[in-house]
Amino acid sequence: MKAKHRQQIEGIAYVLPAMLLYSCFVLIPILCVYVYSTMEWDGMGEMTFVGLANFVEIFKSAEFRTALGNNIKFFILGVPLWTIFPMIVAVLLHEEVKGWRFFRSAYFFPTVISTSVLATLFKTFFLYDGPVNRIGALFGLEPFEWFAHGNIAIGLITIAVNWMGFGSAVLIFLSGMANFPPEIYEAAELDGAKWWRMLRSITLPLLRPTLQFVIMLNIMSVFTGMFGFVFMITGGGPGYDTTVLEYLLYTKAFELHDMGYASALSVVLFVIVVLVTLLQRKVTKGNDEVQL
Amino acid sequence: MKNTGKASKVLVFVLLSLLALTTLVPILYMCEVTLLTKEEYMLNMFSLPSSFNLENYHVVLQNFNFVQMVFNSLMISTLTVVLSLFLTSLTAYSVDKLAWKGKKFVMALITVGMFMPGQVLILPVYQILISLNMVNNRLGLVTFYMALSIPFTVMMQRANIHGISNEILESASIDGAGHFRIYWSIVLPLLKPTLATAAILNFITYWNELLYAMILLQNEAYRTVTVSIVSMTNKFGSNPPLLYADLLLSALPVIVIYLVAQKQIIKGVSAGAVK
Repeated sequence: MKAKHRQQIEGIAYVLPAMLLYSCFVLIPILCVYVYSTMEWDGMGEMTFVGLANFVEIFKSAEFRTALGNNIKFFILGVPLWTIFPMIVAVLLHEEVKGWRFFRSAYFFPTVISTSVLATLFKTFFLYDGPVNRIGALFGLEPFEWFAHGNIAIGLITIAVNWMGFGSAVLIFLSGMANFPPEIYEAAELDGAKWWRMLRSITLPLLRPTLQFVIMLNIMSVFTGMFGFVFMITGGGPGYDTTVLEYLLYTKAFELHDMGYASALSVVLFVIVVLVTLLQRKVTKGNDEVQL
Repeated sequence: MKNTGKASKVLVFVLLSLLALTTLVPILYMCEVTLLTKEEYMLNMFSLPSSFNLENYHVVLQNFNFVQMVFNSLMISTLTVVLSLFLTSLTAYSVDKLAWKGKKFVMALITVGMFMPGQVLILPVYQILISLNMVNNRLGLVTFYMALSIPFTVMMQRANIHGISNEILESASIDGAGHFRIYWSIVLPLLKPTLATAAILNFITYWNELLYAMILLQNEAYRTVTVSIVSMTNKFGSNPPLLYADLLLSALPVIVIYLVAQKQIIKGVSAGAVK
């Protein structure tokens, strides 16, 4: 009895330091965001309770609609590219041709370097007098202002995200494939199945849970992983053409000191992320039922 | 699925090689340009360096508090990693190996953080640190990074502590060792490979972190190298050889870590992927 009591006390004591820290800087802040979102506040002076006025302001404001629209553009371009591209690469790597381990390391390499460094490098490549335009000139192309057009800039940022991050999605797909039972392939081979046939009837169906996981991560990235890229490459411009919700949050809070609006925007982002997570759960559950 | 014919094997090899060029060539090009002078670059940005000229590195290291910022980044990332490992391994041990009421609730709270987009926290965290007088304080950022690292690091340690057989721990307990003693002299040594992987991944994450480092350390003396790139780009956008030298030096620690520990990093990230 005494030992049990002791274990209860020690158990709590060992998680206490971490949980104290975690409560102060993660859990309580989550609650704070909700409180702030109902206040009018510049970050320093008095807070005034304004109810849902910040949310009304958000949904009425043109910049919110533009930013959400840009998130949707990234969604439409990015989610397929960031999912299908690494999946193809992983399927090819899975063939284990000579040097596949080296290739895997080479693809993952950019992901360890900071977004600040690689996004800056990427940006300089596409400057007016940068290498891309110089190479284009060799083929008789006129130099082009790549970041002066909103949609082209969004396309380029989508490519930059893929360049810097596809290596980690490749690893996720590969670890999904590592769990496939080799007997299935052996049996199919005995039946004389061709490569394409095995890809279509074995690999892709078995990859479905991994695929869903990667799609969910990519949707999350669209809403929570774009700040560094937008900040370093375009600064949200031209105009608001590449401003996404996260970036709008940053400018509202730290450039315009409108903490109420920014907090309400945080709540909106948080709701989007929770919805995506719930959707993922539901889809995954649906899978299990199908398999039964 | 290793039954492709010889011809298609060659095709796959060629495709994969071309793709490797797209990730490696830009970075190698960056390294090459740092050896050019501004004049050589302006004349022909694809020229090979006339000599092994380290002048750009010299300029970066001599100026802009670069050494101070490297020190800041190293101190912040290292302290975060070490303190976080201690706290999270103790938490994971308690949650997985000790029997006490309420640990399910604690794990549920930690899981909430896994789904939390980090930047949503920036406003309240900024306010809380201001009220604690810890803005513009490197330890303030370390404290926050530690909190932020808890969900990922606890989950990772817990999965591995779970694999340690209870019999070993029980026999130590019969020999009279207390819970902390068991954690310190049995669990931690067995956990070494996991601790190393978690340390590497967290070091890379916090070395590269931009948003919080930028907001919470606005005083130039405490700035991290990752944040300094923002102002470097504005100042030296017109001198790519110098800018690239700065970029390369800022990324050097993580590049070296990757070259040395890539196997472990790839293994760690892959293990985290299979839930």
